[in-house]
Amino acid sequence: MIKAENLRKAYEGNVVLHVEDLTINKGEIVGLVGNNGAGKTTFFSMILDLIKADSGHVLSKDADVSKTEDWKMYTSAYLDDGFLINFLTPDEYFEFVGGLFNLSKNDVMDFVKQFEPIFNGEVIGQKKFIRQLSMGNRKKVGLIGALIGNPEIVLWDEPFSNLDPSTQIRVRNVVKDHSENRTFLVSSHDLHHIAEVCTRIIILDKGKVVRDVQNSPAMKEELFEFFEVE
Amino acid sequence: MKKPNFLKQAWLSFRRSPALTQNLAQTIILAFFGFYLAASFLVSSLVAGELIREFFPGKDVLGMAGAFLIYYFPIDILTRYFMQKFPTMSIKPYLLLPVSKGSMIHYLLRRSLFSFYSFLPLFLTVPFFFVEVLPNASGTETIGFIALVLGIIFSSNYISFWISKASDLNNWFSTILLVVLFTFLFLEFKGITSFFPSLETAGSAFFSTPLLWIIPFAIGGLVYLYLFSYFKKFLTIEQEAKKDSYLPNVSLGFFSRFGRAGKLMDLELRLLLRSKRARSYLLVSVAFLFFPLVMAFDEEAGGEFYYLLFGLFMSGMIALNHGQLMLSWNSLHFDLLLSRGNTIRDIFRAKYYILALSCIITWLLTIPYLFADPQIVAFCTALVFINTSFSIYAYMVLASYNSMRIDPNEGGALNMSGFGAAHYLIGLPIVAFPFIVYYGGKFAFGETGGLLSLLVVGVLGTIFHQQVIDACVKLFTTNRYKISAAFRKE
Repeated sequence: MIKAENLRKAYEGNVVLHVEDLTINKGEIVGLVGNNGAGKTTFFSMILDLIKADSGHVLSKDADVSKTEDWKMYTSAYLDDGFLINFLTPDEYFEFVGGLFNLSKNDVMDFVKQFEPIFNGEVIGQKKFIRQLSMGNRKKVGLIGALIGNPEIVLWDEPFSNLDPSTQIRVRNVVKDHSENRTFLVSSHDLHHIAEVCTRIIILDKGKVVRDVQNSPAMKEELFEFFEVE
Repeated sequence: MKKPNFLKQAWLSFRRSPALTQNLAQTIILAFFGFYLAASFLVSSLVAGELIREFFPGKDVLGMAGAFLIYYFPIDILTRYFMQKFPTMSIKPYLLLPVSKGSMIHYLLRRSLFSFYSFLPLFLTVPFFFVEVLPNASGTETIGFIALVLGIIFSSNYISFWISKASDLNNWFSTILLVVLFTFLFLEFKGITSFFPSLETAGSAFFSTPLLWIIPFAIGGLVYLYLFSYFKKFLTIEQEAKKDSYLPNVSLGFFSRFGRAGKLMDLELRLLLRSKRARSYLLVSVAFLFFPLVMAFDEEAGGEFYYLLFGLFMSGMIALNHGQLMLSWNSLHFDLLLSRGNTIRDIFRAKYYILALSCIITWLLTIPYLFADPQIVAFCTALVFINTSFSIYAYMVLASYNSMRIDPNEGGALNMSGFGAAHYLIGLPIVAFPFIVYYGGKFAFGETGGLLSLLVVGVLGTIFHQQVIDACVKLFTTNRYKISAAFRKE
């Protein structure tokens, strides 16, 4: 589904990402973990062709993402507020995204309403612009917005941060429940959530892939060990 | 408890503001503009006495100066309202500090007094004061003159502060006040009403009656107190959220025929109505439609020249205004547009069609001028297609090379963020091009040839919009990393 080959990015001589060869298969739920500066967001941005690779490329369905635009029709992401439109209400935002995929307002709202427990009555139907929402609620809008239009690949950057504990678990369940025919890439600092939901875990450190394993109880221990501080 | 040094913080925020550090060209242009204004005020002030004697023989010079100053008062309020940036929310980070709210608000209100616009009237009056008032007037009148000037500066600052605050909150009263001020000035300048001569007596009376001196200060002081109590009550963190009033959803079903680009056009329309800066651009554009009412065209002296200029602006004002910032309007959600559900071509198509459509709409709005001056409509009709083609193309090409981040919800009439040197330069060909076509056509084909050439060139240019869009997409695609990185940088 996604293949990164010899992908490299450096800022003023500092290599922030260097992925030699990484293939992500269809249907996988990939957890991307690593300390600050490990290159997670940079990697996501390069999958989305938002920043230029110094060398190498990302292939999506065998096509270079920097040369084609086909991937834009089946890939979605929520990395930060740059993926929200702050002068729309949440409903209008969902409608706008759905509209790009020819979904009617009703279709979109029916789809979004199943996530009401996450929104907790503070998002849907509110006559408030996204720029007026709290950080947590903005994140909820972005995460769910990224599921509209039945995308085959979903990229979520730190979906659990800024959310209350119950919502974190609900969001985790969303990943599980909506992973059919879908590839999820989720980055997080929360090892518990990652270990709980992901089928494959990739640890990035200083821009390099240092572990890449299928999830298993044994893996969980290894994961926690890796981030242990002396 | 030591008070934080607010003035130093204000200076730092000015010194380190991206607009100043990154955009030298703009700072120079603004400084030049300010210098020009100050210089012309100085000169007119020096000769004001002579002018009064020449144009109003037999009238009291000082009294007429007073009349002018009273006249200047509403103009000063309006100028400040449109140009001055009143400090408001910059206070937020200090709210948590152990400083009394009162002293912070006093600081905020006082700081607004020390702006360029408060010094501007001084340029207009100080030379006059030394040339005319000091040698000729009595002691009482001299003090009265100073009192009037300072009183006007003081009260107009707070009145326009209050109007701008109130209009942020969609207070109708401020709108009505603005309309009244505008109508008053309009009627006076058109000579329909003439309060001016009677103001001479008012001016003389003011200068010689110390009791009256209190009036302007009392007005300013009352507004100051009102603003103080207002801020004291509402200056809390939640207030910021309250400021945004919800605006109903607008969408034109007609756009759906443009497919995905139509969805983006819907988005642009909402941006136009919901973000402060885009809205004020829109207002300026619509106001421009009334310009011929205020200006009388002189057929003899280069009438053509003005018709061309106003035809160009009137038939494309929204496109020329809003189009300048092209992609920058979307800078805060550009990553979404770049990665989700639409192509780069969709973005450019949406931008082109909505701007071209705005030209058609503004052109339709000029048609009523048929009853006043058919020439206006003729020129607008010839020029509207120049706008739907070359004017918009110029901005599209510019945007595909380079764009800067802006926050469309940041208001302020003099908010120049997002403009680079290229924006100032591109105005020249946009304005020059129709002139070349018109005079070229007139020279080659005679009197009506000029207008026809504009029409033909414009229509031809518009026909090829798909090709231009494709070219811009290509250009943008090679520059996309640079542009989207600039949009992400706060």
